[in-house]
Amino acid sequence: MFGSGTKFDLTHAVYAREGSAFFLIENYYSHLLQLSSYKPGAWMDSNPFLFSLRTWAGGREVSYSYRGDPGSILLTVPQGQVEMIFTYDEYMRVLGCGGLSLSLEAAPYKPQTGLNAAGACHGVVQLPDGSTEVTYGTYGKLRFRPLKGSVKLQSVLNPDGSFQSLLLCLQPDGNGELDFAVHEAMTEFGDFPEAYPDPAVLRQDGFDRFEEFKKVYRKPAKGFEELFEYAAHTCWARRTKPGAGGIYQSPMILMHYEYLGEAFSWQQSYHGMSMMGDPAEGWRMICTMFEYQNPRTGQLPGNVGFLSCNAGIQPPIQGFALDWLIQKCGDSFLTEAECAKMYPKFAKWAEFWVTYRSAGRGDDVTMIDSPNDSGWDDATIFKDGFPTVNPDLIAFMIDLLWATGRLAEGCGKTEEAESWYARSDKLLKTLIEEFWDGDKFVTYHNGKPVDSLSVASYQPILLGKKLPQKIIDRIAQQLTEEGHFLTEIGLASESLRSADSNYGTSTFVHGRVVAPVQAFMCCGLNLAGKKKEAALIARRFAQVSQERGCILGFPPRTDVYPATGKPVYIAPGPVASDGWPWSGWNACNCLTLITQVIPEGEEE
Amino acid sequence: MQLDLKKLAFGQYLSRHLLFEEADPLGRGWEKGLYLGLASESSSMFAGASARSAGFIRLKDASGGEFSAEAGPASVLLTSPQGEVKLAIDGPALLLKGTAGLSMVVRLGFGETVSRTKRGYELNMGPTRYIIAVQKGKADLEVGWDLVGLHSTDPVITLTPEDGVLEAVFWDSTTAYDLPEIAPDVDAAAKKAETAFQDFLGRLKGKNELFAYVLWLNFQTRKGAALLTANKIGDIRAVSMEQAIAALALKAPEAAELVSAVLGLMTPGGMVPAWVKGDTVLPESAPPLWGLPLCRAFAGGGIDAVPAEKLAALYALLDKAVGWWVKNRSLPEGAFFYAYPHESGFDGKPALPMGAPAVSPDLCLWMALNARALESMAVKLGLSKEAENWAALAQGQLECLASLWKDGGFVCRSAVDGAEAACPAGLGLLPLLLGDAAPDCAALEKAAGDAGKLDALLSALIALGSPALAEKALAAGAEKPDALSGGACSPVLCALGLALEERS
Repeated sequence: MFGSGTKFDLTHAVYAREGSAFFLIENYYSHLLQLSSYKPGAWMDSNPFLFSLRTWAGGREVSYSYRGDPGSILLTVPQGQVEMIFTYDEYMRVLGCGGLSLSLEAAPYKPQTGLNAAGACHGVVQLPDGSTEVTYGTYGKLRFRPLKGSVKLQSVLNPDGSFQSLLLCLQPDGNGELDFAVHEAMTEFGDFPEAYPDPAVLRQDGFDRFEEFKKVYRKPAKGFEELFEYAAHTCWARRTKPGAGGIYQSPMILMHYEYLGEAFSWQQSYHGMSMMGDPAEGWRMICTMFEYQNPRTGQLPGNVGFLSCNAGIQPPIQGFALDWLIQKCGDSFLTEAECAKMYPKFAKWAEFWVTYRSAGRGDDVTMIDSPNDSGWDDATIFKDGFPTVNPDLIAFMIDLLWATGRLAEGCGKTEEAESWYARSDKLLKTLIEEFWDGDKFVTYHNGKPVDSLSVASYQPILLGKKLPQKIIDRIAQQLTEEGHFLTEIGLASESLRSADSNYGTSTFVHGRVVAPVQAFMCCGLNLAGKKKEAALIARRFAQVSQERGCILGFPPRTDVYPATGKPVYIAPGPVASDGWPWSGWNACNCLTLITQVIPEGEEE
Repeated sequence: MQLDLKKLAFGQYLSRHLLFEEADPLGRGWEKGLYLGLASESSSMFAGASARSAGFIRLKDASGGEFSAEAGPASVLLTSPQGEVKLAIDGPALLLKGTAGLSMVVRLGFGETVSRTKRGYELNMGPTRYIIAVQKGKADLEVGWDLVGLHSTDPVITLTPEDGVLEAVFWDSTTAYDLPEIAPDVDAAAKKAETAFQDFLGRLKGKNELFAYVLWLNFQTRKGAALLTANKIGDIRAVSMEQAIAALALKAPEAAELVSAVLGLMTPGGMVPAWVKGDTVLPESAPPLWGLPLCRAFAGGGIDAVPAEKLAALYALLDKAVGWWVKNRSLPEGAFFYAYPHESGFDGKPALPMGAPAVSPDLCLWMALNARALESMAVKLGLSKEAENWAALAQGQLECLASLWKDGGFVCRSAVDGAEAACPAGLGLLPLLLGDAAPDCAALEKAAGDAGKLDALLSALIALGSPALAEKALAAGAEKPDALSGGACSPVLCALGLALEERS
């Protein structure tokens, strides 16, 4: 899918596969492939656990082209090929022929940063059993087990014993063949297998798993088959393997590999929403975060990394995600057993919000003191600071209270269900009466409305037909007005008319056209009966993603900000987009748009 | 005892609260002066937060003037022309009462905020909620918000007395807002702290109060156990090797508890990691020094003071930890080896002469002591067969050690090809800790006396090998106290100072 000279090479995306920690990326500057692991959660610019790959023939370096598919990636030179097969287990297989060698050299992503990648190496040892182990402290360890060939170590040490440079060369045997199993571990290696499967079996496993995984999605709208393949692969390649020395209890989906290599809380629900081909799997994805729920407070972590959870929180999207799945797929996946299992967890999560994020009004209105709590990190609704009372969050709460009631009802707790439904209805009434100003939903800071042109003000559209028609109509009107929020590539997160708009490289929802905003608004409009409008927006965003890749967001313009005439500055690199890597978040949002929102809206 | 807040912080056993004078010794450009802080790693939703000083609240009086500080282990008195403020710590609470107002410039990182809530002023710092709750007095907050930088900008919190009195509690809390019951006021908190410190003194082998305070201050809870941090101000790692060394300063029950705590960090496979810090673990093997403090603590009937169930638990842990070395770091003939230089605990100081993997005399020593400690426990627990096996292992290690004694000095031996090379001075002197069981103890003691400048930790550890050396080290320390204690800030050196007191 990704290869030299193809539409998307590895300067755009990473090469990875389900269950494996390894990933490969083509360095934007050197154009060498670089190997790393997501497990340490390192950020690529400062990641020293990164190895540049070079191929050698007869002692001379030869440049390679590459091509990867779900089974393996081939590095091709005139003399032959080196193949790397990432496996579902904690190792990869490296195979070579024609006398080729493959070297792994410790090298930072950006040489100009002065980062000494080799300096993070804590040691290399060639053990009596013929294997070679490399340890990188908290970044993990590698064990090279030669099946054919040997490891040649070339390193330079500083006087204090630290590494100045490190190069490991996997050399062929006397027949010119190379065959290695390269194991990775964050903490310690378990027992190594005595024999390894045939490479053909390992290769086929990748194809089979990917084909099986794609069944969780519905078919894409005509014209978006290519995006479907890339997006599905992006999600599959980020799907974690439970166990393996980490804390993942069931498969989750990472945001990225290069940065933020964790499974983020609300993204798991976005993934669940997209899995309409297998709603039971979608529901499982929504529920995954509850495996890490604080049993006392009910809090869900902000993200789950390989070894630890983050103490922050993300918005309570789970009710909305469940509502979407039920409306699009029915509720047959919500068995009584499922409801009985998840009801107490949802209830605890809802109570967490009204206990620890209460606005202090004696009702279910919430207040926050951190932007991450709402997900609208750098949106202008926070320009006056904190604490804030957010309608976007209240909309989530309305659906969370409803969903908790639905689960209670599903396991026979009728009275409790009625209570949750009543709270949901009451909060909806509050939202409409106190936060709708006739034009938008208003965020309050210390009781004063925040003057903002953020599209966050329309997020309550996700409540669909629960909102009065006049509000739905007004929101739909504003979201489809060209040059306001609507651009040629989807909805801007800040109105183009706003002087506060900023879609430079390091911004998120400050003006960029980002994937989750399209998902919220399009799904919300769809649920509200504005299916054509939803499809119109969705098509624009899906189109740009198909053309430019599954990256989180795009600037609506690259020349000037229309409201001020000031120039837009977007730094190139370090990946071949405009700074944002390919993301599981974009991918699942695109899948929701192209498999449901667009077909449904355009059919209408 | 008066504390010099430029050299060490005012704090408390297991509490994260710190008050100290930032001297910016590494020239990082941090503003010098009085700071409140927490012994913690900053952590935000997206990780990667930049390293910073432990101090995040620059403390001045309400007029912007500097305080002078008079600190003891239990309380601090801050004085300025505006008045005075007394502070004391009770676990997660820092209590204060006084007549002067406070100006607090807060430094927050990416994603961190400060806001006013019903609980007071809350600093939202990843998993930490630092709450400033004013009980008597007035409070004011000036703050902005950096939309793209995602943090509160230059927050300034000002506390001023009301009717001449300012009274407040600063909580080190979590996202669950656990606020346990605490002492009713600052005087009661100071009294409670003084009692706790005196109790801690009673658990030590030595009497030096400064060393004792440094040790007391730097204990922190890590993965549910009380472990010694390298330094609460700048390096909050709990280094495994340092726990074993710190245990040398403790009486038998406490030594056994500390060794159990560090062994409790082991991986499912039995590897004791080199250090832990928050949720982070360095998954590299720590040097296996555990037997050293245990053998010393158990000697002379000390083992009888350890409750049987705790002894049984410690035995199981140490058995497993030694088992990891047997499985992963032993040669067929029974010698143990370091796979990496850092496994000796002294990498970068006296390095292994031929690199690793290597058999080294210090490793023979540690494994012999582990086996002896296990033998003692097995006997006590009625495990006679196991005791025999441990005795045999100890004997085997002593024989291995003897085989490394060549021409009046130790050699290290390559675990790959058996090549030998002279052992560096530091590692080669450690077997002095075996006393008469060491090959040519007298020669070793003489060599230790002539060794010249060694790493301070290594030097103090070797000095434990003989009363004469211990006395010499203490005498040098008395002349120049900072030399022995590492500038009075190194908890592990202070622990060794306390152990040397007993040894001398």
